[in-house]
Amino acid sequence: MRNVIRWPGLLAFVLVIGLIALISMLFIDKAVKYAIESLGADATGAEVNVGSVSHRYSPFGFTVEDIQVTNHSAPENNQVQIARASADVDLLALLMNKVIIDELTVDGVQFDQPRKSPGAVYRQPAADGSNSPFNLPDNIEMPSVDEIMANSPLKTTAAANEAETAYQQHKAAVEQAYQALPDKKKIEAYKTQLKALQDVKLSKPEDVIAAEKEFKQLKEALKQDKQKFAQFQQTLETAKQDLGPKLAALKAAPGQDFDLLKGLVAGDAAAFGELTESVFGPQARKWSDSLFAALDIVGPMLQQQAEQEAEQSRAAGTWYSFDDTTALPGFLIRKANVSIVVKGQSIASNWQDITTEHEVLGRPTLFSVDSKNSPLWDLLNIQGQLSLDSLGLNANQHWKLAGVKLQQLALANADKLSAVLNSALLASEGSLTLNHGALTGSGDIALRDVSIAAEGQNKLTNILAGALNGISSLNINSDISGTLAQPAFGLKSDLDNQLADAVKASLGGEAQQKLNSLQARLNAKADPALGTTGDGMQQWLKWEELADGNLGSVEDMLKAKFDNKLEQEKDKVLDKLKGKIFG
Amino acid sequence: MTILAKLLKALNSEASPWQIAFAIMFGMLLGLTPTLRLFGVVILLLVLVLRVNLAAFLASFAVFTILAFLLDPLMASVGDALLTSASLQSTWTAMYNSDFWRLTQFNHSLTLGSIVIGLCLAPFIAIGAKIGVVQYRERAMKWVNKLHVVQMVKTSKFYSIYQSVGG
Repeated sequence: MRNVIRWPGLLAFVLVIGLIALISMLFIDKAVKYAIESLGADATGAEVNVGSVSHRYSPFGFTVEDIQVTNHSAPENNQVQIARASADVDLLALLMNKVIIDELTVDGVQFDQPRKSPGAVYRQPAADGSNSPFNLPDNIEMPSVDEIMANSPLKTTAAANEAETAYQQHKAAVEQAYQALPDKKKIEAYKTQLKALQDVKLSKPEDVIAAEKEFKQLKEALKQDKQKFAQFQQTLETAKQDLGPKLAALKAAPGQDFDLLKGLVAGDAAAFGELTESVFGPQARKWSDSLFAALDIVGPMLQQQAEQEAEQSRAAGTWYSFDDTTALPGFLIRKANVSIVVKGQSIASNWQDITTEHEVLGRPTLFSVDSKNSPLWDLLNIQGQLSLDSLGLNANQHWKLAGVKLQQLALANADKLSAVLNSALLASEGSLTLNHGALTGSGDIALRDVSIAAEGQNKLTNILAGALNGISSLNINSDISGTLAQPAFGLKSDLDNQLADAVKASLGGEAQQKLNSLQARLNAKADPALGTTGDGMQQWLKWEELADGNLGSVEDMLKAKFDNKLEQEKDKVLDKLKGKIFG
Repeated sequence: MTILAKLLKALNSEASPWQIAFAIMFGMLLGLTPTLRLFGVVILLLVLVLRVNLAAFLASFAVFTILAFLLDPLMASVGDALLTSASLQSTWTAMYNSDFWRLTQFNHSLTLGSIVIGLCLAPFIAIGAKIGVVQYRERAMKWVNKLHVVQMVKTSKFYSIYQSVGG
C-alpha cells in the first residue's frame, strides 16, 4: 500500500485546488468585468464599460458598479447607464452551467446621458428611415387655377362625359318611339270616328255589317297605338333610369371638385397633413424611446444571448433536463428590481423571470412600472410581458401616463420654423404588441395647458408659428408599426386642419379670388353637358306628359261600349226584318 | 519537450510498467472529458495520490486532448443516445434530482459521452500500455537506442534536456 499511495501527492492536490481557488478569487472580478464588457458589446454593437466588480460568498453574488452602454446612434452619449447592480447567483446552478439569479437589484438607471468620451461603435445601427424633422414648403406661392385643374383628376369632367354619352345613347331611341305615337289630329280623328259610330242610325242589314267592320278596324287601330304608347314608356323609362343618376352626379360634381381642390389653392396640402408629425414627431420618438426601453434594450439582449447559447450547444454538446417540475433554463433572473432615474426622479420597475428560454420556463417575463404623485407626473404605469420562442421575440405592453409636466422641450429647430414647448400637461394611454419582431400598436397623447413659443422665417412659417402659439390643447393619435429595430410612428391630430385653415384664412382676398375662379371654371366645365342633357331630359319629360294624356284618350275610347250600341242597332234591324217577313 | 524527455526517461527507467500504463489511462480519461468537471478533479486527485508516472500522465493528457477535438462529435452523439434512451430515463431523473450527480454534469451529452467512452477504453488502454511498455523495454529499447537518428538526437538540445531530467 505504501508503494501505491503517494501521500505528498495529496498535499499537491490540495495545493493545486487551492491555487485554482486563489487564482479564481483574485481574478474572478476582472473576469466578470471582462465578460460583461465583451458580451455587452456583442449584444448591443457598441462599447460597454464597467467601473468595478466585486464578489461575495454568502450569499454568493456580485456587485457591479458604473455600467455604461454606448448609444450606437450617438456615441457621445450612453444609451443606458447603471450606477449599481447587485445579483445573488445560485452557485450550485452555476456549476451546472446555468446562470440562475435569485434577485437582481439595479439602481440609478439613466438613459441618454453624456459620456466622458465617445464610445466605440462595432455595429452601425440600421437607418431609421424617418423623414427629415422639418419639411415645410420653401415658398408660399399659390398654384394657379389652371395648374390645379390640369394636375387634378376632376369629377366634373368625368361626370359630364358620362351624362353626355348616356344622353346620346338614348336620344335616338326615345325620339323614334315618340315619333311613332299618334299625334293629336289622329286622336281627334279617332274620337270623331267613334262618335259617328255611336250616333249612327242603322236601317239595313248591310249597314250593320259595315258598321261592325268599321268598329273592328277602329278598335284594332286603337290597340296598335296603345302598344306604341307602351313601347314609348318603356324606352323613356330606361333612358331616365340611366341618365337620371348621371345628371345628378354631374350637378354635384363641381361642388365636390371645389371642396377637394380649394385646399390646394392655399398651398401644399401634403405639408399640412404632416405638421403634427413634423412638429411633435422628434419629441414623440424620444418619449417612445423611454416607453419602449424595456423591449428595446432587454428584448434584443435576450435574443442575442439565446442565439449564442444555441450556437454553443451545437458546438459543445447539449444540456438535458429530467425533471419537469423544477426544470430551469440556462439563464434566469427570478426577480429584478430596477430603479430608473428620469430628470432626478427615481422610477421603480419590477421584473420577474427574465430568461432566454421561456418555453422551458413555461411563462413569460413580466415587467411593470408604477409611479404616482411624482413632482414630474401624477401617474406613470407600464405593464407588459415578453417571451422568446424559436421564431423570435413576442411582447405586449400597455402604458398609461397622466399629469406629466413638460417644460422647455424643443419641438422643432429648423431654418424655416423653430418651436419650443414652454409648458404642457401630457396624458397618454396606449398599447403595443410585438409579434416575432413586427410591431403593432396605437396610443393617444393629450396635451393640455399648452404654451408653445414658435417663430417662423417666411410668410408661411410665420402663419404656422402664429397658429402654434395659439394652441392651448391638442390631441394626437399615434399609430406604431415597423419592427423593434426600426419602429415607425404615424402621428395625426386636428392640428393639421387647424394650421391649414389658419394659412388659408391669412391668405385672404387673393385666395378667395382664386377660389371664385376655381368655382366658375368648374361650373363652366359642367354647364355644356348639363345644358344638353338637362334640356334633352326636360324635352323627354314633356313628351311623357303629352303621351300620358293621349294614352288616356285612347284607353277611354277602347273602354267605350261600342258593342252594346251595335247590338241595339242590330236588334232594331232584326225586328224590322221580322215585321216585314211575318207581317 | 521536457515532458517528452521525462516520458522517454520513464520508459527507459526501472519504473513499473503499471505505473506508466495507469498514467496513460488517467491521461486519456482527463484528456477526453471537457475541462472543469468534477470527474476531472477526481482524476487529478487519483493521479497525484496514486503512485503513477506523472510524465506519462501529462504526455497522455496532451495527446488525448488533441484527439478529443476529433472525437467530440462521436462522444456527444453517444451522450445524446444515452440521455435520450427511454429505458434510462428513470435513472437519469433520479440522478438529476441528486445534488451530487448534478455536480458531475452527467446531463451534458459531451460530458457523459466522453466519460462513458473513456471508461470503456480505460482497461484496454491500461493493459495495452502495460504490454507496450514491457515490449518496448524487452525488444525495442536497445534497438531504438542504436538507431542512427537516436544517436543524432543524443547530441541535440533535446538530449541535454533528457539528461538534465532527474531520476
